[in-house]
Amino acid sequence: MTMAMQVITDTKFSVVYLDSTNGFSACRCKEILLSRGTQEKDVADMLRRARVYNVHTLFDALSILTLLTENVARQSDSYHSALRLVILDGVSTLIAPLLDAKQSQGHAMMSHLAAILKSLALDHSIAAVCTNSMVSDISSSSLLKPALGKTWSHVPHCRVALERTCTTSGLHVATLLKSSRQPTGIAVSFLINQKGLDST
Amino acid sequence: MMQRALSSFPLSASQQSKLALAGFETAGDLKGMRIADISSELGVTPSEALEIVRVVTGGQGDGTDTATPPLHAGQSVLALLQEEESRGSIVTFCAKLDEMLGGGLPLGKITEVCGAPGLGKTQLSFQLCVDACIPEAFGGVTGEAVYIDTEGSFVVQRLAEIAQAAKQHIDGLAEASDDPEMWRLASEFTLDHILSRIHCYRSHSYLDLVAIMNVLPEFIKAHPQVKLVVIDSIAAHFRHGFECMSLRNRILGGLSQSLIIIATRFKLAVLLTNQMTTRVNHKFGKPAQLVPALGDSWGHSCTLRVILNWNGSRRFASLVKSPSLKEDVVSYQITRSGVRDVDPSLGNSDALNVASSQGDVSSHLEDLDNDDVTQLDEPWEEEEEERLNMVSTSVVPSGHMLDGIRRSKRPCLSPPSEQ
Repeated sequence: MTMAMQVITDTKFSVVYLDSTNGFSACRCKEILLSRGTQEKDVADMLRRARVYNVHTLFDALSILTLLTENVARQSDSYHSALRLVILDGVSTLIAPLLDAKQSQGHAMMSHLAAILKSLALDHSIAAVCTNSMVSDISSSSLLKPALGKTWSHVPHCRVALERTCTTSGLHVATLLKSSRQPTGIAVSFLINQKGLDST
Repeated sequence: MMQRALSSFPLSASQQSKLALAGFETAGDLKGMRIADISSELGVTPSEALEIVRVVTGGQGDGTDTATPPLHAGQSVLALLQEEESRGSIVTFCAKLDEMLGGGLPLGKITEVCGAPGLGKTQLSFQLCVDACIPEAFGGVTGEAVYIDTEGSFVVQRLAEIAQAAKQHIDGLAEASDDPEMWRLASEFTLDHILSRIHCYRSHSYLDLVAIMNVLPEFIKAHPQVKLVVIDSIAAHFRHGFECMSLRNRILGGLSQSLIIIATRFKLAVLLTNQMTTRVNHKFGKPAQLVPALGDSWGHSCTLRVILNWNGSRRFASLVKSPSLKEDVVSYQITRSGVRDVDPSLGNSDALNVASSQGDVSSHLEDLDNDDVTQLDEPWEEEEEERLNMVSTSVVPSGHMLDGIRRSKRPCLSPPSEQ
């Protein structure tokens, strides 16, 4: 949500948020905008530039993304021409029901999703962001690893892991796991407060 | 729609292979063809061909490209903001707890309450069921509640006790306001009124639970006033007897998706209670921790998570996961009237410390029958039969969906199993 609001305040671009976890809160977005210095009267205009879709299954997400791709390609209205950020919240919630050891449909669906996101990102200069969950890692030395396994790990160009260092202080750490532009392993700490994600 | 590969649609494997054999690769290949032609090309019945076309074009049977189907229609965040601001929440009668939750249990979201045995999860569920029926004029949502019982901890007498205390509270509010309209609403808010608006389902296995979830949308369409669905507890069927963990995770994932769909479509609050389990961290030398049951993958499914714990002899509730609220810890207590704030001036005379051992609770229930129940308006024994009949039954075709109330005609002396 912080990312979406940041894009809206700093630029004239529009944002699409696909919510699969029912975690999107418009009141919280408004709080983030106001505490970052937006005036009350501008909030309405800014919030018009963000759209949220509720997706419950992977097929819903695929339909919406296909529709978005077409609209962006056709530049059908001002909203779609200015679209530069697509956020898919909860990729593991969408794909997990389809993953079955016996069938390969889950992996096929992951490839379809990956193809659509890549075409949006590469052909239309849109930043596509997905959130994924972490699962316990019994094999290696670290406690947690990203969900969805090796198949999905090849899809994003850049991967950031968020962790909570200490429950009392509220400090979180973001570590770069995979990147083509920066060395991996860089970590930055941040807080979560009224402004959303904030630097310490 | 035009360029989307047909293999990315939710079609069955046989349909996919027939489409591939006939040379159809993208959605655009099916466009403009008649159903009869499609069925002869694929070698399927016309009704199956129609179904395939429906899936591919998202609900329109004529094979043309359509605008976004209503289910997928997004909305601008501005519209969502206006809707969220007008949405109510279900109060818990504990002011601190309500403040922590941003006004009460939020409508349209899934809240999970986890705790060790004896902390009051079932009591909180009862309190919220009663509070869902409070009229809007008194700060409620004028709704009905559905209670899905998986552990057998549903006790009518306790629910009625909490409802009675809530009624007294509402009467007090109406008296203080001195408004004839409020008086009229308060007089309608009787014990019978409350109990008739709480619907109870009993589930004995995870299959029952899945069946109930499938039937619930029709039930809610028939009872549009339902504003709360409680599952107490979601963990009971899933902790034992599951050899295959991936099956368990998939069923839980399916359940959580159905709950999300019900919560967003019908704008109601969903409350799930969960148990606690111990996580042993041999490898890293950390001590064993008490964590919510059902694993990490379930932890991502609910929108809000509240963890209950003991600290000495006081009960505390901590908000650990929320998309829009700050983390916080508040203390609460369980009294004869239900969930309330901890009031230092009142002392513990009114407090009922429900001990985690089952013996104490059963002795309390026996006292309830024998005591001079001056707190309640009507004596229990005579009216009990009518009470039991007042609670509405679930209209479910399947025979073994029992109504939890009609199980026993005698007061249920077995204590609520606070697992």
